[in-house]
Amino acid sequence: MRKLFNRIDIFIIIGVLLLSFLLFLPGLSDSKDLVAQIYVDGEVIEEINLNEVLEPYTFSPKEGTVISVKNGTIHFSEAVCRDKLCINSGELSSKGQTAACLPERIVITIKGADKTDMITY
Amino acid sequence: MKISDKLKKIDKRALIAVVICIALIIGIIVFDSVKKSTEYQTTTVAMGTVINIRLFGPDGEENSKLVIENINETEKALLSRNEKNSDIDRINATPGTEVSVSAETAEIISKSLDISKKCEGVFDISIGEITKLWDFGGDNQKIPSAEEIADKLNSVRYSSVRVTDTNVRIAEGQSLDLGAVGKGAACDRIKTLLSATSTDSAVISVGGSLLLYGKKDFNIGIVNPENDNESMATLRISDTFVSTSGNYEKFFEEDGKTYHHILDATTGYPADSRLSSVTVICDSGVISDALSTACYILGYHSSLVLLEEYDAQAVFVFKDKTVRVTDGIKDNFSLTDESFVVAK
Repeated sequence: MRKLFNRIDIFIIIGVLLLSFLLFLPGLSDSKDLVAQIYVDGEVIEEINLNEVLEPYTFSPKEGTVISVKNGTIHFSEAVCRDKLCINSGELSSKGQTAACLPERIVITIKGADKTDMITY
Repeated sequence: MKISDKLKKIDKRALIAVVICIALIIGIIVFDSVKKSTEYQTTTVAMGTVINIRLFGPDGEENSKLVIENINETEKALLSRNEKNSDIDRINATPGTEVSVSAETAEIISKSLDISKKCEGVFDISIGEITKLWDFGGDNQKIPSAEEIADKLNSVRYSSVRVTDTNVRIAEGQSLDLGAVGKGAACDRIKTLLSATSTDSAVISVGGSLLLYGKKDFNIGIVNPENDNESMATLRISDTFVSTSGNYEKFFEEDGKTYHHILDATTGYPADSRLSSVTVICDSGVISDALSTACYILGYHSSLVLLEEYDAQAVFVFKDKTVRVTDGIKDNFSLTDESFVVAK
């Protein structure tokens, strides 16, 4: 057997085997980036990588509602609803966190899961 | 070239070919398992609350659309009292008359009445006239006068609600409010829906009431009552339903006093409890939802018998930050916020 495979053959065989796993393994594209998704009426209207935000800015997904973005965090800063629960949700800064303005059907969520898969409340 | 050398060369080529074939087969198997565990995640607003959907398996996007349609149907056709011609709207519109409803609505009402009976009526879906007075989260939110509450409290009587097969009748002056079980009922219906799809496993939150579907173990966070952006503990569980009732969810303050939305159906006022929240885990969405409300009102000791009747487990979080966990879930529970203490 030793004569059958030289060192290069063995490298090729191991290489092919490793590739067959690596090509399909999940998690390779997993990143530590905090990506906020803004949903209006169930559709994603904006996706923001919070780690790449250099200067703080605001934008309005719907008239009267303002969302403030800065490096690493995002929050509702103005809303037309009466109870202001969305503003009271505060700044979102870790994966899986969600804030919503129910009357306006606007949801901000940070993609992915951190320590938990879902929170009961 | 000698014949023996030729043989060796053929063997070597054949062996390399076999190795490549094995590698490809492994690749296909790994790819298949990855495809099965592919996750689709989305968030939307339905039933007046936030819906978070995480589906594992093929066709996630299509299946999530079915889930959202199913939730809207639960609200609009079955359980909302504000939706014209829903089952509950039709029952409320004609008190004293038998109303034919879907088998699902009849079952949800029956299960709710059964719990009312077992908790001496502290939880009662015939509380509709009282919840209208308080209107938590609505445009007419206010503290009702003692006279108003006394007047309407007579209508809160689960024993006057009759379910015969799929016919439901409430008494004159009564109205049903299934707000305390609606999210759990939606979770039950989603489970039935998913079992007819290719979904391998899923975790779905209907406004904080959860369905855990399939064999996959999930880490479920229990919200910190003092900061609803954080969890204070986790539960490692699978294939079940989880519901939480807490005083932080819907409330308002007036004259320095806080009024939360969990009403004791025997008094018509917010339950006076030492608890911040109760999380209930069991094999039915409606029951976990109803039990979390009932247990919040009853308090820790009186809840234990009720939980046992339904083979349910629970986590009680007290206002003084002590935590009590029922025996059946202790091994799955871990604190993540050390300012809370598990009582011995």
